[in-house]
Amino acid sequence: MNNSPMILTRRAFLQSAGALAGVSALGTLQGLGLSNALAQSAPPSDYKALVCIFLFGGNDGNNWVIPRDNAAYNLYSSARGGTTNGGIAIAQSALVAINPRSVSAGFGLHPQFAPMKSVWDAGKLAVLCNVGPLVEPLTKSEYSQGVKDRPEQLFSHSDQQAQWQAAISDQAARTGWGGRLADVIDVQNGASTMPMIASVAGSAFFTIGNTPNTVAIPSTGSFGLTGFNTTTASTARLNALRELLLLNSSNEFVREADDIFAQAIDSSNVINPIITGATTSLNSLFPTPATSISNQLLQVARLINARATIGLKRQIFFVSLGGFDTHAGQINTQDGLFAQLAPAMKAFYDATVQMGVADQVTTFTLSDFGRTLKLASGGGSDHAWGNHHLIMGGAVRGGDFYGRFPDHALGGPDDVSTNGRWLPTTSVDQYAATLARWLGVSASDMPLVLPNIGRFSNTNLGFLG
Amino acid sequence: MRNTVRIFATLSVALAMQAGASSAATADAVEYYHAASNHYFLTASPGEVAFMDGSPNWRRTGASFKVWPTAADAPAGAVAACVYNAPVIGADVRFYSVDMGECDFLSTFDLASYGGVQFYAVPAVNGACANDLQPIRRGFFDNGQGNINFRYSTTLSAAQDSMDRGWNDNGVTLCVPGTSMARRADIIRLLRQATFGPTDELISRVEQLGINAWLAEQFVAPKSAYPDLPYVAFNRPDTCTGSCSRDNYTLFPVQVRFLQNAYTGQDQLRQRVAFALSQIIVTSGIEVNHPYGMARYQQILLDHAFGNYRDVLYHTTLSPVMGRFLDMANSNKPDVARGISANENFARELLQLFSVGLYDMNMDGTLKTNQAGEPIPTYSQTTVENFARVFTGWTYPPVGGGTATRNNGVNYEAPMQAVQSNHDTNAKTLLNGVVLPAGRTAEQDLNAALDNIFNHPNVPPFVARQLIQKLVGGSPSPAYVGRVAAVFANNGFFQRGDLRAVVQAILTDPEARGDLKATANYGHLVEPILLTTQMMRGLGGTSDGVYESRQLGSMAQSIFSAPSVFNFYPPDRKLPATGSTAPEFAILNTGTVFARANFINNIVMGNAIAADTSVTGATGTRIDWTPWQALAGNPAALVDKLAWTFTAGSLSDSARNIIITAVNAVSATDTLTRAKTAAYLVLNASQTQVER
Repeated sequence: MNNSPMILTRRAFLQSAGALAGVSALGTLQGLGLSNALAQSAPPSDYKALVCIFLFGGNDGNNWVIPRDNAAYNLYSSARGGTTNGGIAIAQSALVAINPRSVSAGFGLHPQFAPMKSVWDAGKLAVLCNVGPLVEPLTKSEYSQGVKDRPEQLFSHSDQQAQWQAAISDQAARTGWGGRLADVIDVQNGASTMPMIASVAGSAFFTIGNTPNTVAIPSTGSFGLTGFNTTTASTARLNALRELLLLNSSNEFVREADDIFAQAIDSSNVINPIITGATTSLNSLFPTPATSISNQLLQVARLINARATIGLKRQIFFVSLGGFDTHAGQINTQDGLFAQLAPAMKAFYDATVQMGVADQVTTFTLSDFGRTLKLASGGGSDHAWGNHHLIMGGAVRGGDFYGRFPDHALGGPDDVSTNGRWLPTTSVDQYAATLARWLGVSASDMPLVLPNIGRFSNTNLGFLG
Repeated sequence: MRNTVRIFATLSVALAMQAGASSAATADAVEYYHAASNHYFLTASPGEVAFMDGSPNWRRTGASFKVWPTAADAPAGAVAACVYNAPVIGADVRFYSVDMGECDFLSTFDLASYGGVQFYAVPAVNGACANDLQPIRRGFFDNGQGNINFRYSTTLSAAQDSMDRGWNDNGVTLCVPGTSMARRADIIRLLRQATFGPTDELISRVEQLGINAWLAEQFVAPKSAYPDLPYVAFNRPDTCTGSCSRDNYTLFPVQVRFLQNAYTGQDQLRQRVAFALSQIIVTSGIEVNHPYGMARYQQILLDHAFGNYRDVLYHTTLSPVMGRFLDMANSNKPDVARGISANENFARELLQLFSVGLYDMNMDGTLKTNQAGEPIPTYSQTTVENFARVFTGWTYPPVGGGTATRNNGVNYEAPMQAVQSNHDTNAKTLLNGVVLPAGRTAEQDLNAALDNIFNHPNVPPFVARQLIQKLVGGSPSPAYVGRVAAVFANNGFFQRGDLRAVVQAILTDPEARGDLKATANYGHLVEPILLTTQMMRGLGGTSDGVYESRQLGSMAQSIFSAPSVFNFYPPDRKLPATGSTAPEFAILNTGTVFARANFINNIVMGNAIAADTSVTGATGTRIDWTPWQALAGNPAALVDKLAWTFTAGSLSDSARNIIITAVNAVSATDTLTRAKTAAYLVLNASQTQVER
């Protein structure tokens, strides 16, 4: 029961590699991949990758994408207590001006997103407005009257994080939509034994599919076992370690730990040379001093750069930045986080251009939830619902807004409370479907990735070509 | 069944011989198997044993267990096991029971004849045996055509083997004397659950005292402490760099002390419970990076680990560390003029994570449902907003002492203080519709709200389940949760929230004690901090904790530095393949699995780690390999000793043989590498890293 076919394959491979008594199994892996590839139909010739940036804690989208015209700005600013005396409004004059093509109003990005202005101007950055978990399309009056299902446990970090990553909000899900996307797409990767998903941010619910298909790698340093050499004793110890992983156990936790360890050893033989090798021209694009998010995105760039070695035609990457739960002291905290995020995103975009894959790599953001527009005591904002997100890449129809920007009136038509909690007008399902379609999921397969997508009429939001 | 050997003809002889047998404290009950009839037969009578050993068609299965041959040998609670023989219903059948109802029932069968008494045993209660007793499962076979048989097994695997072949499991029916190995395994498992790792000294102590007496000793053991660090300014002065910055503006001094206490402190259980509480009522160095603050916060959990959960809630609520972490400090009453709300952060997480959880629970932790079969939310957004107003008006104590009169800057030296003018004095509606009247003080509202929460019916199962998960296993049965929750609700003296009683209930429960558990989802992955302490303590290491504290981040468990109030891993994390709850797997991935293995490599295969001279009193990290090298000439003994310490005897024979082979590949003269090879492999085996 525990052994999915993929793990069986990996563990069988591990066994065969172990039987060779060699420390490196790289040659074996390539040989295996080659011979199997010959026996199968050809995978797609092009390369495509999705890169998810998860902003843990609930990024305040209200201070990310801000109305710039006077009346709209003043409504925003007054709800946020102004720009002084503990208020959390961003000064109108400091906004990075953007003019979405199909919207007849001026907007601004947070000042720390100045590095991304050129990407917006080049039409490679789009904003998806007021998107969030929905069970089905929902109006404010339906919400108030309780005549339709709401997502479970709105405003709770753990539940809303899970719903953004699962794209399922009417029950506790066991898999994430990135994992299910890989379940469906991985057949296009032919015989490659490498996991389709790489996380540079540890374990993430987003990546969990019905079939284990994720490798988590560190953002810096090496990725593999240390402490072995070619002596007889060392070789015997390594072989014993491999053999221990292949034992069956009546305890499912033992089996799970063995499977993860086995997958790690298999993956490291390919990935470690890539991430420890010289990538000088990529490195030079990324900010100095490095930040956690810049290191993670540089690591993704290195893996994309080695896509021929890895042999996958479709990949999903997961990176994250935490600290966005700005209940208090929001101005400084979010400013500091954006000062890390924006340059890292810009560097990553430039890296995809340098590698010639800008049109083949689409980067997007997710977060726990939006935050209240209304100021909370302590100079912050509380948990809310609908939020704005960014999509970046050469294939993005950028320079524009998608979805509908909410009316900022407290208690107004888009507020399910009196504190500025936006009722999403676009669902996570629709957001995910648009990205999944681009990666290659057919309309008929889409319910396998997004089981509730049928409840929403528009399954392509149009921000990708 | 015609060919079945009729053994009961000898019964009277056997009974006569038994009467003359010498009276040892225990006797052996021996199992036999008859291949032609596929029947098992058990006897504790020396005369019958001699007869059976001489019967050509019966052979010993190799299984046996101890019994008390006389009432005088048996402990209080033991009763005579009635024997019934049924030699004429298709095969030779023997039935033992300590249940008078069963014995009476059998006596009504004409075909069953009473066979007297061979031994005494303790009846199982709810399918379980008391500490240190060996549970015996009864299997029952009935082909519906008159062929029946009974079998008595010490292990679930034997019972399972029978069930796989069409037998029914009657469950645990007898409790007999524990064998020394089973008892030792149970003690070591207890020490994995209740301490930071078994040591030879501790194992001997529990063997000597027994489990209950050892727990009693732990409950009063002298308490460990965190360093009493002085206040420092919130912002690091530019002149404070290097070790000044490390020792005053990172958690380093607290993390190191945590490990030192865990390695050598006598109050192992208190520390272990405090560590569990630190992962339920979470604060984190991600936001609170001043060690003088975190030391005081963690001291609260040590002080109250065996106290009352209501007190834990009170002191953590008013801790300025919590005040800063979840923004209760300086959260003022709503400012209508400026449109500012009370801060909801602490109120929400107090409810969701520290006390009642999201959905109404039954006493066993399972969710209640409404008529539509849906779970019932414990509270609403409106409830959170009301609690947020309860917790307004609190601020940091003034630096240097005194009484707060306005919002103060960060100071972690003492509990938060109330400033009444900043407190919302309007009425509030709490859980279950309880209304706090208007006009009360901040203290009155706070205590009334904590009472309201503490008395919610969810709190016993919510806290019981999480403590079980952190001490024993991730997927406890609802019955286990229910038994512990009942103790939380009432410790026997009508007191709610008695953590000492709760901990005792968790660790002495049949689901925690007894034989190796065969349930497929029993136990849990050992988290990095416990992997570290179990390795150091079990190998006999000496360390100041400096090196290890710096390595834990790469394993996703930097001490007291969870990524958020949701801890390092969530209590409801499920394995995708099976749906079993496995919290610690949330931080096991291909990256951290290497970090763990390479950390073990550095400690075990590497040389001693030198003291960091910038740390006062540093000793470095070293293992004394001498005792292990002494065993290196006998790889099996070496591996067995390690397997006892680190797996409570649960390392499988296959794993044992693989490791012995690797040890044998090392030159016999290189005893150090032999010892290290064995330790490396035992520690890296998933059978070790999953505690069960």
